Amino acid sequence: MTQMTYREAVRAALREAFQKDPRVFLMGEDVGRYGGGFACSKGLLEEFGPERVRDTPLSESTFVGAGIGAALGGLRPIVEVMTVNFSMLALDQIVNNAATLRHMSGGQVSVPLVVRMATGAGRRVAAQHSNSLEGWYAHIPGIRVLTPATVQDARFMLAAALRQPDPVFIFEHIMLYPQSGEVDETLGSVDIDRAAVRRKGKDVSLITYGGSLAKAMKAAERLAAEGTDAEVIDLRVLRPLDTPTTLESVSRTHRAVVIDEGWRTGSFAAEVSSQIMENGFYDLDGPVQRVCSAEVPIPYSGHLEDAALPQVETIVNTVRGLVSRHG
Amino acid sequence: VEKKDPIPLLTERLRDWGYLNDVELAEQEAGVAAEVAEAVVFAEAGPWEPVEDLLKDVSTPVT
Repeated sequence: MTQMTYREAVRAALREAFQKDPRVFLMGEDVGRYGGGFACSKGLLEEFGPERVRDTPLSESTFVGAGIGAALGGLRPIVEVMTVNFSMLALDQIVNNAATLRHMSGGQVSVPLVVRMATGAGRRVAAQHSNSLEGWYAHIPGIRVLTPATVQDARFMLAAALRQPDPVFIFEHIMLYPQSGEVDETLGSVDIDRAAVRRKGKDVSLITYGGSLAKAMKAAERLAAEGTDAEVIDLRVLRPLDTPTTLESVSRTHRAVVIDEGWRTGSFAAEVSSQIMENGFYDLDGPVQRVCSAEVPIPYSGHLEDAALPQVETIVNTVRGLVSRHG
Repeated sequence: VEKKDPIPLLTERLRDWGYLNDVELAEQEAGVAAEVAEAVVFAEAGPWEPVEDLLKDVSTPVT
């Protein structure tokens, strides 16, 4: 096992991608000379040169479009859109081109494009830099949406993404970059199809992904201290969604709480909840609960930002309510 | 990078064109610094926004 930070894991994944496949290149704002908005590509320009680590103008639509073109032309571009907030400017290229070309060409062309972006709140950088919009992307057929929540997944999901013939979007939660974790280098790869059970439990299923996984794990620890045994599921892949893992868990625990940093209305948590209701209703001892963000642009002030986001405390309280109601 | 900074560039140009002299510039800078300092004191002395106001001003109230 090797200890490294999430940021170092992303960098190691990028370096490995460059070494393994000469068609791979990285482009985006500040990825070269500056080393990346979150320092993920630091040193890669020096190591691999300006042909493969390319600084782009501040124009998301242009460089995501160029990435789609490069992918169509036979390269394996990794496009870094600094954060999901700025990806709004590239939505036309993503939704209308990257996601549709396979279908609209009658299967003649595929777009093997990988787009990485930071997502999420918690850094006191206010509404315009704190969105969690990966749920929007998970709505779109034709693309795959990954949310690495562990250092291990940050290390190996990129390689798996690059093996895909279709566009893959990787959402890296901003609060994860400095987090340290263990990587099993001998694994060499991870699947990008299945959810993972991060903690076994029998009383309630906490279903989450990305930046909320650590909160769910802490909540599970706290619940264990008061005699509630929580299972924690890391969805890992939001599209295509691995519903069977969730349903299997709920069939044993009979209770589900979905934790999602997106706003509650129309959230990805709503999709997970619907899947449980459609396919696992008779396994439930109580209604599916959601812990989501408050319906407000994420506030700048620290105490208000904390109040707006899912927290360990809110998860614990939600589980207590669910367990006591039907326990 | 500093050579391209629009603030010193503009200051320099205004000087060249005769719209600004050193005395006026010093006065302006002192005035701005005082205004910022006053705003910081005001902000630091203010109370935190109450958490009950979390959802305030998301939409405009219809009267």
